[in-house]
Amino acid sequence: MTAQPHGIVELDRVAVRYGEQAVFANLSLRLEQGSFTILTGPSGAGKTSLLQLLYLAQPPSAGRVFVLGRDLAGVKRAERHKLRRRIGVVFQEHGLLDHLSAFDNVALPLRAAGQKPKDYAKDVLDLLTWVGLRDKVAALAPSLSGGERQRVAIARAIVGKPNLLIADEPTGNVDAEMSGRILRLFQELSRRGVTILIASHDVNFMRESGARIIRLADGALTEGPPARAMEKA
Amino acid sequence: MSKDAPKALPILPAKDGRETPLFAVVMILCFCACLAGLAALAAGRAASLWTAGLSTGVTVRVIEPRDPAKIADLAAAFGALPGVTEARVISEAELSELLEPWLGAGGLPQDAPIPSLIALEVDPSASPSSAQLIEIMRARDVRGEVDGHDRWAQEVLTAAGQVRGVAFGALGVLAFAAASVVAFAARAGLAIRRDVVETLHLIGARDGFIAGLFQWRYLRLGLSAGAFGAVLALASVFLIAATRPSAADRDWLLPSFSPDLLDIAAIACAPLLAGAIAMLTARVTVLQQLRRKL
Repeated sequence: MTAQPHGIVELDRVAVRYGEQAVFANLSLRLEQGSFTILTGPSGAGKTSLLQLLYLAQPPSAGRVFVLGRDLAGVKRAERHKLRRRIGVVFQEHGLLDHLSAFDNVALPLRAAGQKPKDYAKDVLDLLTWVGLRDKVAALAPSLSGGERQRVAIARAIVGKPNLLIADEPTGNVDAEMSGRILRLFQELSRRGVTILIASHDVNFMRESGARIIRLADGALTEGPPARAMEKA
Repeated sequence: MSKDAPKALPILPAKDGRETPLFAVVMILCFCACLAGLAALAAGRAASLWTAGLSTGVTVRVIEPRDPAKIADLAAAFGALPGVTEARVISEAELSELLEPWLGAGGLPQDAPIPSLIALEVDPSASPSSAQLIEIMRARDVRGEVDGHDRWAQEVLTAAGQVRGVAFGALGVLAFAAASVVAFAARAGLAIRRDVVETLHLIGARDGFIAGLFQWRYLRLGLSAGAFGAVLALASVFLIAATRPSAADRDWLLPSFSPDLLDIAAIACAPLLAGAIAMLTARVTVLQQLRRKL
């Protein structure tokens, strides 16, 4: 893949406001291909809003957002689905459909892209095996535990082989062991060249990740200490 | 496909109990629309029935003189007019027969002042006017009146047209109501299935794909509810036809209630229309809602 002039992600003096209330303003950030970044900060600082800008869930109030080399302001509505298919998202509440099985939830992006079951079945099964849920393929989403739902959500986010993976609090509802397993999944993806941006409060997760840490607080982004340094701290 | 993969489930849940009231409402609206459509067709049939024959007949009442030779001469003069295919003096025997329901058997009293009648059969496209006929009578010093059925036929046609108009108006109102109900239901369905719409939207589904899920679902709902409504309407009409008292002597007044092929074809269209309205409204509604998102 050729180097993107704007990186995989670039925020250029971006602001998000809800009515008169500014969440943040004049925010800039750049993520390179294959980077593994954790976005942290207090609740209400705007981490979710920042992530939503990147997966085209809301437009910025000001500034420019570049994702996968495209200025989002110039992406026509009819083209947005193509860009979204290159971005995997793990939502804070998982976003699984309760009437679908783990298999169907993971396969959803491929079905939405028009693929037939015979084309995607093997990939989906392999992915469910990779996240350790081979025995849960037919289980409906509500019957899965929090950690299992989280892994299904991760599998769904990466089934379309995205270039950018965004996860909002992916270890928020899981125990330490599951948090470690999820971290290893992300590290494996990062090694494969996927750019990863995760919003997290989980100090252990950050400490173990070896990722670049950025902190959003009081409307400003600051570079945090390297994760290894946190370990020593 | 891998044999370990479970059967793919529909992206929208196959059944949703919350749609049962919508099914009932569409069914009832379709039932009413079918009845309104049948009423419109029946009004058309009634108009044809009522005006058949009337428009080709004219009756001339001769008040005086009552001289049979003069009346026969008058009938001959009428018969010579262009557009008159037959001019016939109604005989006393025929008059007695016509008046029998009111006067009883036994014929007319000799001194009864019954006018003589001349029945004309005319070509509706070129029939002589009442004024022409009166002028001929005046020229022969005959006093009488012309009873042109075309006036009655016009009034009957106007009344039938009004009935038909009201029936089609009701049909239009019902179709609009059905579309509004389906649109409301589609919005409600979309709100209930916000999770599906949001998720599909954010994982890269095209708007058309998401709208398609709802549009096919509402097409099925409209078709099945419409079919139930149409079958109910047809059954009701057959029931009316079967239980209606025999009225052979009044068939000139009331149209047949037995559905013919046109009625059945019209009723068969109702579910298709209901399905199409449901499908289009659902699609438009979903696309409108999606366009409000990024």
